[in-house]
Amino acid sequence: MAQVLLVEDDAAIRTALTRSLRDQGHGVAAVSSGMPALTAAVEQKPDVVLLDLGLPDVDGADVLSMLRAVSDVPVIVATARDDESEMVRLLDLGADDYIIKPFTAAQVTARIRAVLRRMGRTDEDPVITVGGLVIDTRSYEVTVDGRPVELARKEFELLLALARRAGEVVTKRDLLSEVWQLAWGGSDRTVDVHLSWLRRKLGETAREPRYLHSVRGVGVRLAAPEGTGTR
Amino acid sequence: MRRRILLLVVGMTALVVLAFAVPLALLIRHVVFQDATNEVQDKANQVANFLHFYATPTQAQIVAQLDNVTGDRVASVQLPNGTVIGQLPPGSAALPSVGRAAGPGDGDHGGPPQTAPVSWHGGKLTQLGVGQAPGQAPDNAEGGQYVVRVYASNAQLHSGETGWWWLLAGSSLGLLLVGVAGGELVTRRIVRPLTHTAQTAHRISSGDTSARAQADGPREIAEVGSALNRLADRIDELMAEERETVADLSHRLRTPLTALRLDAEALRDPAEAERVGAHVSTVERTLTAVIHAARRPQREGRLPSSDAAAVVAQRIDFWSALADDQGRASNVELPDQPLFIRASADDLAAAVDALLENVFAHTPEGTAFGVTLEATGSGARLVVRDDGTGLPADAMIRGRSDRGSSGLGLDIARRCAAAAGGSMTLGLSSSGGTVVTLEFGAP
Repeated sequence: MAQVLLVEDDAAIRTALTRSLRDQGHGVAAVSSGMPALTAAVEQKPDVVLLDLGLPDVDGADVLSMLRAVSDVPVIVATARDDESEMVRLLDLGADDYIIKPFTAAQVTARIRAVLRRMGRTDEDPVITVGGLVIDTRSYEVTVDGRPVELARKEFELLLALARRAGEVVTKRDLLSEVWQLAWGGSDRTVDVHLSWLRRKLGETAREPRYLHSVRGVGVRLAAPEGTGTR
Repeated sequence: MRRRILLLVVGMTALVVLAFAVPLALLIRHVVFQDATNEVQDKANQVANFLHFYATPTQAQIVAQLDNVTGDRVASVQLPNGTVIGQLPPGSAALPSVGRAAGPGDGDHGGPPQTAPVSWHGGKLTQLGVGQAPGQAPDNAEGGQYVVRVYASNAQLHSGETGWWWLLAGSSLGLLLVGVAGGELVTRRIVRPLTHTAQTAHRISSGDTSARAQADGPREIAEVGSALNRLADRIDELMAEERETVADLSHRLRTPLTALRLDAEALRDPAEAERVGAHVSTVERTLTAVIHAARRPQREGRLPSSDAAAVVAQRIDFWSALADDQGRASNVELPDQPLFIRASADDLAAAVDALLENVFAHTPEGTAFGVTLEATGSGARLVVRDDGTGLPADAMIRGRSDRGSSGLGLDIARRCAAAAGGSMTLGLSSSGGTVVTLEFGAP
């Protein structure tokens, strides 16, 4: 998998995240402050940097600026602030993505995967095909039987999460965690209503499903309509 | 205050007017009476001059002269033979003797005798004895002379005052009105900025911290206005600092919470991991709510408002896809006109979502629901009802996870309504379903 440079001053998070990312198969180099992070970013040439903003020596935003001056390594910023202006500022400073605390290891992994995919640094096929459904993960374009489908961001992410595991039943809990970053405590109805919109836009209904099949009490499965091939 | 200042001005003006009017009235009374008395004497003098000039006038000439000169005064001429022409004054039985102080001697100097009028029977009486030609023997008790009497009652003597009284009363009233008008002008100048300042204070105390007073008017009152503005600014600063501190503390809590979450995930027992994870999620949601509330004024301005009709319509449209999928009929009644309420679009949308989510979470598929939004006298009323079997008993308990819903739904709706100056009530419909009514205040 990827080589991750983890810059995090909180020892508990650093340890837990290092363990989780290694469990996911990533190589992790962890540092606790800004200056060693810059050195490591230059010397170790990681695939992605996960940068916490609250560092003891240098402000995380300054580390980001300095990093951008010497390297084009993808950077995911971890921040406790969720206001829009802060997000815009970080993206303008050169962050490739951001993740808001408190996050789960699965969310961090998903972000890393998404960033690497956008950078073209993954072996994953950027185009996922399920029957007549084609999802281009680089251009965020979806077509059904050649007909383009306009999807909202969450709808796209939901479809993508299901398409990655086409044929499998994906629980709503997993979807909440991956798409909405609500690991626990989110509402199933959030998934339901977006599924309904997805169905509507894909031209099907719950009673007459083609691609999206609800499995009562378990979750949702994305599968090609009968008579067409998958992938 | 306005009334008191006006009363003071009217009182002061009245006192000043009185201070001038009373002596003036006494003076007028005296002058008019004196003039009238002098007139009585003049009339007597004119008749006396006539008698003196003609020496032996005929009775007809005397009558004509009396009518001509004395007018409505009681006047008479007593001939040397005692015959009286004209009307004698009251108390004619015992008239005072006619002084001959002037006597014919005065006539020698070519003028009538002069006798000052005397007070007589509630009036003034002038009696003039006009002497005979020299050498003519007196042939009557008065020494052979003509006696001219002119009498005017006090009422007649004072009758000339009426016009003056009217003039005095009119000018006094005029002055009083000028005083009232001046008082009103001054009062307005003082009271208007003061009233505005008071209104501003009320608005600030009712939560509108953007309200500011106009620092104008008299210096002391302008000072009150600017002091109030400084106070409001300070309240604003303190509140902003307080909110920023709360938000900052909450943000800081997110870091240990992240560690907690990651550790919870790493627990070996999945059931335990989920349980601890759910607790972490609850803390996280609460924290997010605290930050959200602390940042609210920054986001929405001090007085949030939104078009409830548009927001509710948009949220119903959002849930319509799921309603269609689940075969739920919906009865939606929304006003055609925009309906503004005192809640931000985000908060209202969250409240509507929470209520609709409850409908989907707590009623079986196919159950119909209805949404009504209507204007009320004080804002708007949103009613969400379903044909289900009523709310579960624990639906109102905060943080309780109920059948996959957040369990915070009703709490979110209740807080939104309360923040908008309204309230939430729960009830049952005639079919036994749940009816949630949210009242919102106008912005």
